[in-house]
Amino acid sequence: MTQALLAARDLSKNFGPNAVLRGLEFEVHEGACVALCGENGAGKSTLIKVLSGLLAPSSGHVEYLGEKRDWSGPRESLDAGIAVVHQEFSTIGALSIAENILLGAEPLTRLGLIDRKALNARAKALLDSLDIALPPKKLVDSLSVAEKQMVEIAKALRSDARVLILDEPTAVLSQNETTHLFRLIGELKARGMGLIYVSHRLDEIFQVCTDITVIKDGVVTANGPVSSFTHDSVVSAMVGRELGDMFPPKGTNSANGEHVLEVRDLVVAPGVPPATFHVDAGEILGLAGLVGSGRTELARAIYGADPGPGTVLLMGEPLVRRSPAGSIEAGLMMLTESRKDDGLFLESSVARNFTATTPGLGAHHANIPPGFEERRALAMKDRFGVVVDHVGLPISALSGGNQQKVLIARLLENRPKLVILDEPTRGVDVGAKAEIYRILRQLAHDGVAILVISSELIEVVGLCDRVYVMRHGELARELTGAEITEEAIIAVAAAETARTTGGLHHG
Amino acid sequence: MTAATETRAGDAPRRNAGTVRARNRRELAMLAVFLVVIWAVTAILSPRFLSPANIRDILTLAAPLGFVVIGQMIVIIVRGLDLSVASIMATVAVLAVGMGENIAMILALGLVLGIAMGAVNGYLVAYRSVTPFLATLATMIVLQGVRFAYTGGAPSGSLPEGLRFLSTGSVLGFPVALVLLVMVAFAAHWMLERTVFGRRLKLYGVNPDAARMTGAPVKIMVLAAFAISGLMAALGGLVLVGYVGIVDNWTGRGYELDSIAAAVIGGAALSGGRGSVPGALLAALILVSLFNIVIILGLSVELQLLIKGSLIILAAAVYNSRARR
Amino acid sequence: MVDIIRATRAGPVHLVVLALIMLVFAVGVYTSDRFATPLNLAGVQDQMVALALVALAQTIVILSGGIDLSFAGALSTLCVVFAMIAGDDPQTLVMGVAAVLALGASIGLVNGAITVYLGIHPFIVTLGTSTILSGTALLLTRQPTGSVPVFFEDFLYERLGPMPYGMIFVLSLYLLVGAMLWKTRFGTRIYAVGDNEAAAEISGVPVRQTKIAVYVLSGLLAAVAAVYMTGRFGVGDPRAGVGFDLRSITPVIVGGTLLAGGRGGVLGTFLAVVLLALLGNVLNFVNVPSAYQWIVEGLIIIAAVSFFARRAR
Repeated sequence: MTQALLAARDLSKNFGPNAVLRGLEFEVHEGACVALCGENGAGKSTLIKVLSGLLAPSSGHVEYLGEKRDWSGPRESLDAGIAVVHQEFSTIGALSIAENILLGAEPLTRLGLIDRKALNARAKALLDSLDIALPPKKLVDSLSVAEKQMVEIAKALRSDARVLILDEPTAVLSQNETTHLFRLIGELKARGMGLIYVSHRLDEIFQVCTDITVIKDGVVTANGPVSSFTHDSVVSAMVGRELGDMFPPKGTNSANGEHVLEVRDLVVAPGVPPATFHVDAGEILGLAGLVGSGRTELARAIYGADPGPGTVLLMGEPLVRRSPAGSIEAGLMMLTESRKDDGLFLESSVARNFTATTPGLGAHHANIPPGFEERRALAMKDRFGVVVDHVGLPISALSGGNQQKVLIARLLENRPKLVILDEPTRGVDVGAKAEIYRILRQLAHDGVAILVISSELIEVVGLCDRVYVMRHGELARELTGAEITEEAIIAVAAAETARTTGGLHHG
Repeated sequence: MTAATETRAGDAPRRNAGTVRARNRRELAMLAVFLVVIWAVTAILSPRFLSPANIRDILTLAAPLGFVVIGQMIVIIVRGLDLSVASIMATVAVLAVGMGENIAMILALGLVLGIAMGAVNGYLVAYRSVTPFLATLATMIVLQGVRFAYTGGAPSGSLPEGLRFLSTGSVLGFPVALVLLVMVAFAAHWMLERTVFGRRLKLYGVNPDAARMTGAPVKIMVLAAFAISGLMAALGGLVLVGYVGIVDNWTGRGYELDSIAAAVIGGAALSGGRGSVPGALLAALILVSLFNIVIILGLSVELQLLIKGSLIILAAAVYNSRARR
Repeated sequence: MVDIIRATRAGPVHLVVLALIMLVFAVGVYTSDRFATPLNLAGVQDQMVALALVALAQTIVILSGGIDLSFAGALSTLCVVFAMIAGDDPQTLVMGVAAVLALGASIGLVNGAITVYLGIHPFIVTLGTSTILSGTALLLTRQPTGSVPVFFEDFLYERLGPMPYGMIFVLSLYLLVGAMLWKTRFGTRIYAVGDNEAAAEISGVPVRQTKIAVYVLSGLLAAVAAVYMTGRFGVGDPRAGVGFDLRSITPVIVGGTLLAGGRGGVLGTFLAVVLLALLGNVLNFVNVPSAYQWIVEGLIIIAAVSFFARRAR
């Protein structure tokens, strides 16, 4: 076997108490395009960051061209020939396309000044060679997301990169743009580059990749050429079938029929058909779809976090104050997609985080006795099995699963009628997952209506009584009972042209 | 560090050195120790330092800064910054003098004016998305103009007797200003630590997005924080002119940066969410003591500036390194 | 043409400021015969020089996403030190300039290093150094002190046609810094760091070095301003810098540079300095007390900021 271009050898990485990578082995060879698969939180992003020097490994090492390398930072790995197109773009809006592409490598005149003519010409040549039609002098600020990504790729390829890492490159691209990208990838493979391709979209992986490496909980669970995989075998390596046992039996009272939430003609984004649907008492309704299909946007609009004209009724009463505060008061709670961004108060204590939605619950609002929130938090800790030495510790000291349990417990403090959970088990270990599923099912059993957004198909299939599949911002199809299968969801979610498969069923 | 793992009966939380509260207590203890050390050293070098008259001097002078720092800190907790406090102090003071002799009237009008000026800042920041720095800078300059336009350059009018009493009088042997400060500080501390509003203010500073998603009325809260700062500045301004005895267009000059310095030394961070009333007051006391100490010890007055500047950076560095751990 | 617009980062705001300048100028001409005289206009320019230099420094720092409040203390100390060394002859003058430039650069180095390596907000760092330097200036002398060579003082009062030498110097420095921002890697990096520090880091921009260099440059420009100010006063005033910390920010913001960093440029700052100076002068002619000038200045800041807040959305 030929020598690997870039490899990870027994690589581990810990963040505080969380082990994200655990003795991981990984290789990319010349002319190969390796798909890196895994669920959210499996460790893909961390692996990429370690490979490209943004993070230092806790143990093990990175091998490049057969040599052990200890990157001092992204600049060193970039100079050595490892280019990364990150999920969050690293383009600078204030600079032009050419300035972005050649940032730090601007052609200079003999006086050491930037040679603007050469700068633009070189950028133009690079863009042309990649068949990207963008004027180099244009400000990146004025570009669309897809165009920014093209700039990002051009920037990654400006030097003679040997390895190109693409992190979820098609999440924001249209079909045409994706086709263009695939052509580009084919050409780069032919040039002898090694590519690492991170994506959730299995179809794409089978279309452009030569090898597949699946990681789960920080270790490789499957590895080999594409030909040795099927869709199913990739999925099962990603999730592990034992997950099927994690779900409590589904509810039997779903025919109850009491509409807890009714959404009528809610306009989430311009150009997208308004959404109309309902969630009943005692049911767990799932919102499935690809990343970017508008699930989170819909949920945030219902919750009042983002504006969206339309009617939202809770227990038959229209919500008047359309803000998180108004929703909470009416009994509608939401767990957000990204814990760190708008869920956790990282520097604050576990107890403070737990009581954040209802600081004054059970006390006079102008006189919360000392120790009161700790006592509340202690009760919560026991009930939800949160593992922490002391509820006064900052919540940053907890593992992801325990943090999530605190946030879910927080939603349930004030007897909610409807709970929206956006990716409730993202970045959570298997044990905590099972517990979260149990909590949600118990909650539904007690008559609460639950709306779950999830990118993990197995979770949608195992947990939900009813599912809407979203595509391009619209509710494309409703699935109930035995119709809820991974295949059915993928078929609707990944279908390219809207309105060809099944219309929207209003219940 | 020895973690006291004494287990008490019942459900009471176990002690733990790593809790947020324990960390805050240690920071306060550090400040208190620092204050005691500089006082002790000075007392050894010059016995005059601990004379009742001198102590009274320090405490009285700490009062106006104390008020302003409390307001400044509340604004910093919500990731703000108030550069207009000194301008509010002077403007309120100048206007108050023109309101006759009725002290209740002066106080009421002065405080309402302070709240209004602070609310303008808050409106610009919360509802118009103006950076706190620029909003309060603009207010500072506009108020400066208003003040000079009103006084025509040189303020006239004698200081009402009641205002003098506010700063230099005593009740039961305690300076009125100090009694007032203690009351206000207690109220502010209570608000921050024991009310829903205060909890939400701090949570907003830690993570504004999460605060909104957990139902905090964020805009009105930010506006209120700036209004409180305006109120505190007005109070500080009235107490300060009463102490100095004359009204000046530049009353309180330097308090904007001094109050920020004191808030930072007292444990507030510009990144928001951190700060306490006791910390802010200890820091104000430290700053005022430095001035007094330098004079008592016969050193150059300017030396206090060097110490103050170093202290600002040192305190920020210490808190920063602790927060990062 | 496109390049010129890009190079100067010209935008609608510059047209607005330019229009305001012309409006103010027209009001000045209409109001008083003495306004459009070479003498008066030279006076206006003389008043601009120091602020223009400090605002130039502040522009660079703000573009990089920072802020420099150390000018109050730094200018005071630099003025005193310069006047103490500059003495009476060309030789000491050169020594004074060299010493002050070195001192200015060191002040910037300290600001930058503390900001970068201790991770403290630059507002706090520069507030601290400013306080220390204010004290230092007053420890060196309580009263204005020292001297500069007479020929140097005379030189600063001379003009080339309608333009004082000081103004010519300011113009060339603005051109130089503008060229630096447009034509050097360092300039591009300043925008990159100010616009999106994380993205710049990922792209391999040496973020820390860039930031430190920006503060050093700011310190150097403060030193230049100190040399000019001391030259004009003839003595070193230990309170020379008072107020320059906050005053230096107004023209930067009015000129369209965003406080958040990464957006804007030196052309806007220059136009804003001109506008503010002319405005002050004209308001004086129409006998508007300085009180109202402040009100106008404050309102201009709010107007400028809301203008950009709306555009950013």
